[in-house]
Amino acid sequence: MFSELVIAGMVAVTPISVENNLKKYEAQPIGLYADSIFKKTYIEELYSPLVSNSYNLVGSELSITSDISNKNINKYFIIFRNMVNELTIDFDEKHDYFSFLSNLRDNEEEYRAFLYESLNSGDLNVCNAISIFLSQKKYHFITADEENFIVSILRFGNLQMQEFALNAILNWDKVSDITGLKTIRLGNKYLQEDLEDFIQSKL
Amino acid sequence: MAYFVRKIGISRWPDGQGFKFTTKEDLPADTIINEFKTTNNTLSIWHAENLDKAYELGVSFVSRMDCEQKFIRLIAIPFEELDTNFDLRHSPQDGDTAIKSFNQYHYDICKLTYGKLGKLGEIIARETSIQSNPCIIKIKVKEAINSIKLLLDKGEADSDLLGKYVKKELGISV
Repeated sequence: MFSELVIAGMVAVTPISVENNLKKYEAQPIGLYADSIFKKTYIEELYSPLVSNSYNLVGSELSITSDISNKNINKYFIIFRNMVNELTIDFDEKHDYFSFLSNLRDNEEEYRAFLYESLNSGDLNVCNAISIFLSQKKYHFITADEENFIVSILRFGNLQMQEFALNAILNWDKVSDITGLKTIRLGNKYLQEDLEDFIQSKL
Repeated sequence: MAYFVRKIGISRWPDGQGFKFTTKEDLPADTIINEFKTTNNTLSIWHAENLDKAYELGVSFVSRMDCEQKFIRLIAIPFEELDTNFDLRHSPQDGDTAIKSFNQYHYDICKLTYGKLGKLGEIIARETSIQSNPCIIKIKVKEAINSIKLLLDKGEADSDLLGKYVKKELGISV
């Protein structure tokens, strides 16, 4: 009898407590860094032409959902994520994912949605791989979406993401919104110095 | 004053402002794993007689670069710090830069253990936390590549050992 009660109690309680416990282990998408109306609006404005977002405020956290799965973007994202997760840092091995991104880049609409998906995933390897791709000289014709991607990481990404994104932007010949860059505060003083030197050199 | 020099990923280390260093126990795992990729429990390090020489060593580090990067940063650790705490071996044969004469400055920190890596991390973290520390040396990659070109012209660099990015920049077939 006693054990039955305990089991019954566990059945009633466990699903909720496990769910709550597991919640804290969920990856934090980069969108969740957006904890103010300004940041929400910023991301929304960047990608609103293509992706219809719905924002759900849960407590003080902001989550972003999107309906882009019908454009195969989620599939592209998963393929790309698997590709970069298998890589070491060796340059030769980057060839495949550079080709993948080059091909995807030809379709402006899908590419934009893919960048959004990658950004919103907050996946370190994915975001850093795209930043490495965008730092290569042969891609110096940078589109507005690519610039938005990099600037968003500089604003909301963690330090490791910021370093790769910064390296990309430092290798570009020009940035459309230099004034906007001035408002960025990176999480490391050395990186911040590099950014400020870059801004100065472009003024 | 003499130093030992090593290339570091500056964003992984405390900067004394946002990321403050207290003890080696606080060093992030990524910092330890990515910065100290040991082989046979050894780690490469380079000897420099002074900070100017340390800067020159930076040119040799750039010579092996495969990827496009705007800057690299080096740390120059005072000679005594490593000499008294670590097992150092002069190993010019293991220097792999494209600038031949620089390989003579190559050393290995040997018999590294978990504790010794922590100690090394502590030393580096202390240096990176100091404001305007001249021991954190910023190398402009473009300038370094220009120097490599001059060294190639003089026959002091080996084009076969250049990294892919450097070769591409110098118009040498990869």
